[in-house]
Amino acid sequence: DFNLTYYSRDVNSFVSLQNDWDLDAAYLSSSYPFLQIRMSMDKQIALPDWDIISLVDVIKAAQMVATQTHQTANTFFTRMEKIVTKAFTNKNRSYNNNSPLTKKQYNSYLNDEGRINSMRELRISVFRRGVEPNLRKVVWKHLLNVYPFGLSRQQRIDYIKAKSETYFKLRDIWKSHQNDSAVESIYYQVKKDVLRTDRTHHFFSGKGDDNKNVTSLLNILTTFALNHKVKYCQGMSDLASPLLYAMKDESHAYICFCALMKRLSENFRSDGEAISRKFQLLSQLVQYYDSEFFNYLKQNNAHELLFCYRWILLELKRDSIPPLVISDLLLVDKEYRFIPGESKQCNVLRGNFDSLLINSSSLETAYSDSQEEEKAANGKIYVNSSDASHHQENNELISLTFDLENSVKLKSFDQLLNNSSGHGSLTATLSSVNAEKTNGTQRSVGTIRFLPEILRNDFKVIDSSEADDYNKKYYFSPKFIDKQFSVDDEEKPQLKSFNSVGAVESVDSNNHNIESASEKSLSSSKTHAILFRQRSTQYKNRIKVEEFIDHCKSECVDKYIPTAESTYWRILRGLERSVSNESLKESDYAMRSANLIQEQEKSSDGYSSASTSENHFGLNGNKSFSSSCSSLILSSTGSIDDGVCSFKLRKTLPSLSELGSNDAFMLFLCLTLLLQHRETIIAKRMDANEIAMYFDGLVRKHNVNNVLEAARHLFHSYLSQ
Amino acid sequence: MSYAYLFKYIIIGDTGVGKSCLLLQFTDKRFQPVHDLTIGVEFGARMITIDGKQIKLQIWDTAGQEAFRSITRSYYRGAAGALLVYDITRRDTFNHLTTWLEDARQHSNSNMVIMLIGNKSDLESRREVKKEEGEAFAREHGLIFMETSAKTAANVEEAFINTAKEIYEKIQEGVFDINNEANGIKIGPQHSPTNTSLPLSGSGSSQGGGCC
Repeated sequence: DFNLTYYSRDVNSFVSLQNDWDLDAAYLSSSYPFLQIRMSMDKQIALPDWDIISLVDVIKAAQMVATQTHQTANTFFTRMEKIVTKAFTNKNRSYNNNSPLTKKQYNSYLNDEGRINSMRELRISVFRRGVEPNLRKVVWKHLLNVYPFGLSRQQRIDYIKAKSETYFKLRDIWKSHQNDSAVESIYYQVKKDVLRTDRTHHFFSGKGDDNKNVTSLLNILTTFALNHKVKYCQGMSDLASPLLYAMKDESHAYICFCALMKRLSENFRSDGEAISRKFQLLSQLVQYYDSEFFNYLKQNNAHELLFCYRWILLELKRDSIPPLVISDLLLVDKEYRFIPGESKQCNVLRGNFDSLLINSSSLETAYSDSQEEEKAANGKIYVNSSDASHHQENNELISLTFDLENSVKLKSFDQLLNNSSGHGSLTATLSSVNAEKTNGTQRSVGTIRFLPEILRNDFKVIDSSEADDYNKKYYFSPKFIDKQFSVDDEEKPQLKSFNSVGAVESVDSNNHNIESASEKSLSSSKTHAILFRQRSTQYKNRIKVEEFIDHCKSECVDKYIPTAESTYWRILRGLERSVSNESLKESDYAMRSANLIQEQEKSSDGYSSASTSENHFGLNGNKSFSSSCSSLILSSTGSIDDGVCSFKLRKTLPSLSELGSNDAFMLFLCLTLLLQHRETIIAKRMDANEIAMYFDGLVRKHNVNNVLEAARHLFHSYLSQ
Repeated sequence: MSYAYLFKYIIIGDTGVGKSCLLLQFTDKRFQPVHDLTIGVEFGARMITIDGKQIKLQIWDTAGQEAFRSITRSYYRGAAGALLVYDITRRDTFNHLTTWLEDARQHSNSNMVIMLIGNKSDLESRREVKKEEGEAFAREHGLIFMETSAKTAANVEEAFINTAKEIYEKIQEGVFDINNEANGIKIGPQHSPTNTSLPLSGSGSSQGGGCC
């Protein structure tokens, strides 16, 4: 009961898509930069011409239609999602070269003098595929930031040499004072532990301390403990042993270990502050990605996730098989460090980034002609960056500005326009409801996109010409309990207010904008406009996919309002990341999720009818999907259908800066592990003790590749939000 | 695997005294000299029989190092029994017992049965702590005491089972509220509280008779 068509770029219109051949043709001819698929439902719901209706009927009918459309769309969406996910996962498998980084490939990241051209590219590459074991010796030093930036090959060798000499000196000092009580106590403490560290591994095998590698480990840890503020602590030996194994050299391993501990030493502090913060963040992530599971854990008093302690402390080194080589991965998330130190003054946003989601891809969907997009981009939109308390009190208007000349273009934005129950007619929960006038006919159009972000579409855009039709105040609220939208078209036709009263993600972020800015080598994000322009340029070229969420502290935003004649866009984390050209080139991992736009037109006489429902199925990018799709499935279990619920939960997603750019990916690994076992846990009705024992029984049994793959997807989807 | 009761234990004591080895000896009946050091908490479980009743022991093996204390403390709560272990070849592990005991008493329920264990009794030649000292300490603080060897398995079974017996007796005496899981005792799935309470009191008297 639906038709699939795709947008053919050759003929500039939608062509029926009925079989694999068509799909192939579609890929070949029209998939750049993304493939647009439209799914239209056959069912037509229209009021007969002669029907006389009252206002009440209109409301009822509209509600009914909205609900129906919503449901049908959901069903379709779920089905389509499955199919597409499957298809693209398969496709991706063949596309993706996941073999570890080789020496040759590594060399391609170096210039003639052996300087690293782009640390970021190297990191991304490693993040995707890992490193060949024999290359770790070289690459890990980069990943661990052992070297100052910009050293040539020869300089690096000299640098390491000097550092090694220092190490040997340090080691000799304590070795010559072994009877000193301070040295002795640490020495024996460490010794007790290295004798029980990875002894089943051939590299450390043997009895007692008859293995020279065990002695090396002992030397490394003792030297470290005696020369650093952070005390020796159990667990360090577990972290040092893979380094020694990879380096096969005591002094190099020591240098790497020091570098690693810069990042991890906080976990070993006795106050336990850092580690409990991580528990909390992990808990938040679980709550966000799988509220059902979280509730289960909470009921069983396990939501503190104490059983993840070892995961976090050792970065899963002990829990997976083969042992997860942390350094391959966890260093990588630095690649996502968008926050250069200098950008502090820009102290961007606070408030709810989530509330500002502008989905450029919807533009694409609605208007394939880029000119039109451009025009749309001239429109003016005011969006409220929702610092809840702020707005609650001041009832301030929106800050994100955007010039809208062409009213029709508006529709291209995902909108979340919810009429209040009072005189409300539309109550589609998931969907962004958009008022649209199309050829004078009234219809609902749903657009489904692979964007988990659908649930966060809580900004609205209305253009001026429509404002005439909407010559009254609307309150959009019913489903979004914690949100209130109000639009006042009368006074300022172009100025829409978006009032968020909801709980707001408290993000301390000094960062995100800046991060993005720096990503784009704009050291300061003073002008969002620049960002925007950049974006739109790229956008024309290729990006359909990215959604833009604005993160801005309201102050920041407010500052910009007065000068609103130009376009200010703030770009969301995900975009920043994804916009980075390099990464896009390799594969745009644009996340799509269902995005349902329902557009409904109401004519001024109060006559409303929804006749056809159409679903646009915007497929972007050929390969881009797979990751997004699978992550979608992973991440949004049960949440897609449950708009309201997850909508609220979305709020609690910690920002990257909260997670800590260094730990973010590790937390996602933990999250992945949890989610992978949630079914079993729930099915067996495990209590907190049993869950802990269950995971304890899984030590060294987690399959690294599975976990990694899933975690990457999940992390991607997170970053794109 | 049905059981009448589940008792939750916790094993505490300085690092390297042999906590994990004791547990492994008890649950798997083997000694593994090379054992990964414990990070945080690890677990073991075994079924035992007391007074003809199947009792499941759920044992939490904690890391000994000070730095993990904040984590391991959270496991005290909800434990019915604790094995407090020191190493007879290292006096300092014995000296730290007071701290451990304070910590345990402070964070656990007051009825928790504590068994003091002097481990590594096979290393007689390196003994630093006399057995009498252990006994004296136990008497002074109202603990049960035993010397064990995780290596030879000497007294290991007894240590765990005697602790369970003590808990079991306390249940018979009504000291433990068995319906409160915070006490570290859980009634088996097939034993509904109403069913168990009657036979319990009956077996309680018979158990008492047996003891005498």
